[in-house]
Amino acid sequence: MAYYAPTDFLADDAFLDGFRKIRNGELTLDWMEAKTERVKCRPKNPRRGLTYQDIDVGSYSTEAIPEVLRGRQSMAPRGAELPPGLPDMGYMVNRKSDVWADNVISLYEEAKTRQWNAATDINWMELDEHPVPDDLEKAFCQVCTFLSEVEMIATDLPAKWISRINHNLVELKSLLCVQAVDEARHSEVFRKRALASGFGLMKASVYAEHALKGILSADTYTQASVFLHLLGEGFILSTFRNGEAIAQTPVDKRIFRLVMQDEARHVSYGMMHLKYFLREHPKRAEEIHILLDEAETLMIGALGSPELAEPLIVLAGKGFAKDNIARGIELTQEFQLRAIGEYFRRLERAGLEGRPERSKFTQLLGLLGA
Amino acid sequence: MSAELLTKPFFEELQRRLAAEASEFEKLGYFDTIFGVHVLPDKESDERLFVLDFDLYSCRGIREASPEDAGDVDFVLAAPYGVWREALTSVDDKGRIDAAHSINTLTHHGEPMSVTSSSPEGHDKLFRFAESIQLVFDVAGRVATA
Repeated sequence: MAYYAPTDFLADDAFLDGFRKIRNGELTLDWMEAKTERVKCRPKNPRRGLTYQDIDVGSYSTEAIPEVLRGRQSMAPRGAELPPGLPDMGYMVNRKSDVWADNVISLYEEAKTRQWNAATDINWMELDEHPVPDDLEKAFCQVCTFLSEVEMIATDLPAKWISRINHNLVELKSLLCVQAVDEARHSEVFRKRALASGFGLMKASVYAEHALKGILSADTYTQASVFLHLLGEGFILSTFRNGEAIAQTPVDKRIFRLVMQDEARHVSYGMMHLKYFLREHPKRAEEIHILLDEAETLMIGALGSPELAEPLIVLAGKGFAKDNIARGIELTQEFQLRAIGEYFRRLERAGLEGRPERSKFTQLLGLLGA
Repeated sequence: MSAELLTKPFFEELQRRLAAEASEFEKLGYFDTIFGVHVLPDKESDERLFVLDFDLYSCRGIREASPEDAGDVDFVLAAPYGVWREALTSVDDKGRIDAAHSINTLTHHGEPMSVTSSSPEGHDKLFRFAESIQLVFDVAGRVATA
């Protein structure tokens, strides 16, 4: 046991006396007089149900969250009366701008309704109707191995931070919980796809693992979010789109469309969080640039790793013959260039200026003569 | 099917079919987006633009707009009529647009179908609602091949 309360309630006469009185029907009913705002919320659209937008009112609203959460260190629900003696839960993230985005509650409501089940929402039996040549299937299994390996980082990272984030930011914590479930499902679906193939998992990636370690090691939540949501998931979103485009079967296309949906929500949150952060702290843009100077290098390692780049080329070119490989290289480079462009546009939209000029991707393209 | 492909009667029929498939959309979740279907002129058709408005699980309306001004949309999918026709008539035995003609496949390399958007948030809705959008075109394929 790591925590001992200031009071041993079994040795506290006042507490025990009060407990006896409750059991005898002598209720205090103090809580009936709680000094909180009285509201009666209803769904604006009954088909949509009672959403967080519908209860975003008055002292309960997300607008009511102050930038600095002084004296609010317990798990008391935001808007409840705070009696004296609430323990300090030791939160490490106590500024709204360190985690917030304007689309948190809409993304959370959307995410809950767009959940899917990797066991039952994929028609696994249909794989038998669409046989794929063994070599291409092995290449697909390598992509699945890579994706199963990297996707779990987007579960571990939010999970690492959720308990450190102040409970007044409950909607954001809830969104991160859904993200953790989304990404567990992604790791699951690619693992299952590889094991449904007749081959199984292929080879893990040292390059990818360095990027994953970099994401987990980010110094602040915002740095972690920029690395994970904007950079990492932005490129994985592009990889999912590419995966859908080059997939040989309707089963695989559906898998990629479903994971794409989840990933795009995470990217959307990351972009809007960085925008909120930079709006509140414009002078901290350099901190983000410094993070990206290293993060982009790690991402280049993952994207250029043989465990990802090679099977993508084989699948895009639909074979191992020289012409197939040449076509695969052309298509894969095209998608990578587009992914870099989309990444720059998201950063620009978030308010981070000057990234293309100092980006490691720009340097890489120069080195490769692309 | 009686309505000519990618005309106002075609989209009116599509809206009726989408309403009939409401339970399928509900399974996929909230679907809040407005997007354009831009038919670029070719030897088979003049230029036309239709705007599809989705709210919650259903299609709230489809309107024809000026190709120069789609209005308030998240993104626009644009392709020559021949590309749209080929995609919408490539329906497999399960009533889906076939693997080679999914919307993501057609747009991924910027051709033969392009995606334009005035904002990354709007553009990303193409991905956030990818499966619902594909279902819209699967249903459109059933209308086209009925």
